[in-house]
Amino acid sequence: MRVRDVMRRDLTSIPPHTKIGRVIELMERMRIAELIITDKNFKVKGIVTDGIIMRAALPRYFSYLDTTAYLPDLDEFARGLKELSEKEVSTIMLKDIYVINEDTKVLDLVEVMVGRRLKILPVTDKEGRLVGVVDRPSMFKKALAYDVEE
Amino acid sequence: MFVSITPNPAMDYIMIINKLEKGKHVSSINDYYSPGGKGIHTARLVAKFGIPTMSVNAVGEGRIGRKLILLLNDEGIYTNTIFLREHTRTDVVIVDLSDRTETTITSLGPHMEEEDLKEFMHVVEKSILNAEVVFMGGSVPRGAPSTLYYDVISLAKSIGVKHCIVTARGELLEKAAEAKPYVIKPDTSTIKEYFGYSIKDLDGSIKIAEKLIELGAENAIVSYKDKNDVLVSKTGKKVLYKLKYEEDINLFGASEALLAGVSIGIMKGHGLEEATRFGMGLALKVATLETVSIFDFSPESVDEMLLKVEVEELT
Repeated sequence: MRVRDVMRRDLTSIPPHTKIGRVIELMERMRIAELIITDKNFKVKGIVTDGIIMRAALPRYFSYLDTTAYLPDLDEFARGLKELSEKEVSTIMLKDIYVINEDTKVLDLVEVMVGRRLKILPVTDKEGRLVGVVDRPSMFKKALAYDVEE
Repeated sequence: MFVSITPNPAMDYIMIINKLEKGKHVSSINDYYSPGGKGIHTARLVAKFGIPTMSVNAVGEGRIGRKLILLLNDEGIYTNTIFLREHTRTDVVIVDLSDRTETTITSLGPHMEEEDLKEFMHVVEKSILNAEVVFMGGSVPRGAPSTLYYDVISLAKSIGVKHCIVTARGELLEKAAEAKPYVIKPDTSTIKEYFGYSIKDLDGSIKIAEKLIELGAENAIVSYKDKNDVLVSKTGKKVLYKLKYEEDINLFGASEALLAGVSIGIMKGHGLEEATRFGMGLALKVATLETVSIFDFSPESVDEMLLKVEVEELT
């Protein structure tokens, strides 16, 4: 079984010039926490998550501590988020991301997703264009439907 | 790739009940979700024939919109979607087994704002770069301009897509025709309110088709009396397709099936006349299904329907 057999053929993604304020709006509309960023030829350019946005809104905190526990109030976060909202997503997106080729064996996919603790993985063709996406629920669904030899 | 553009898809919620009684509590005996809207129906029919298919959609926010996408992905259809404010259009379809009637209640659907429209056109442009056929059909969301199909066809033609197929109604249809689509098919149920007269016979159909060609369309397909369609091209050639089928048919989904068949024929390299013949066969197959779903058939079963399609060139 190959990755193309388990991926969802969803190419929904946003361009790199999308404003971060719009990204937050789209995440809320879509009820998702990760968005893939592609150029006009579906070449994968990066990924943005709610965690990346939070870190970008509070750069001083996350550069020293991996927690917001010492934040005195929400003001700094709200201020940071407002400043961030007019910037393009390309300025904060994670560029060095894992993608997987559609011809890869599913066993290798599982290894990458579990080993790297990935919740979502863009699937690309030989030219690096987005052809689908694998997320954990869809991977579990396909695995459960798989005929296991007794 | 076959690319279908659906700016206002619906999530059909089919509820099958024994008997509908107004004001009473009625339990369904079966119910399920089914992605709908003319563009999505067409995409699902084309994909059944193993043709690589992409559906470009503008759904509403939240769970229903996401469910619609997941169901299309489950059928092997590529999706590229924008999410609008407010909920996805939902059609509650009540199938009453006591008298075999279907009652549909349609919700308002989401609203498309200016920024959404820009994003939608961006998504369309990305998705049609390698398209052989671009199909668009059905209504548009509140807030969307009546030039939406005109804009999509113009964009597709500027990219080099030869085969733009559109079905619509009213102003959307008229503007779409002006963009010179390869094939246009009007929603005949609204012909009278827009063109001022209804289709009563073959001459009425030809008159409508010629009007659409005069506006700019290269070819027009117009139905009349349920079982007949006429294809008129800008060269003046007219071909009549008649279904040799005596029994009653269910027209739900038949128009989408016809255009899905035309698209399949073009994708397989057939000329428009032969593709339309295949479309008529597929439409007849869908119109004679005994199931509620218009997708419960095998692609091979369409072949026998082609024998019931009579083709006549009109002089």
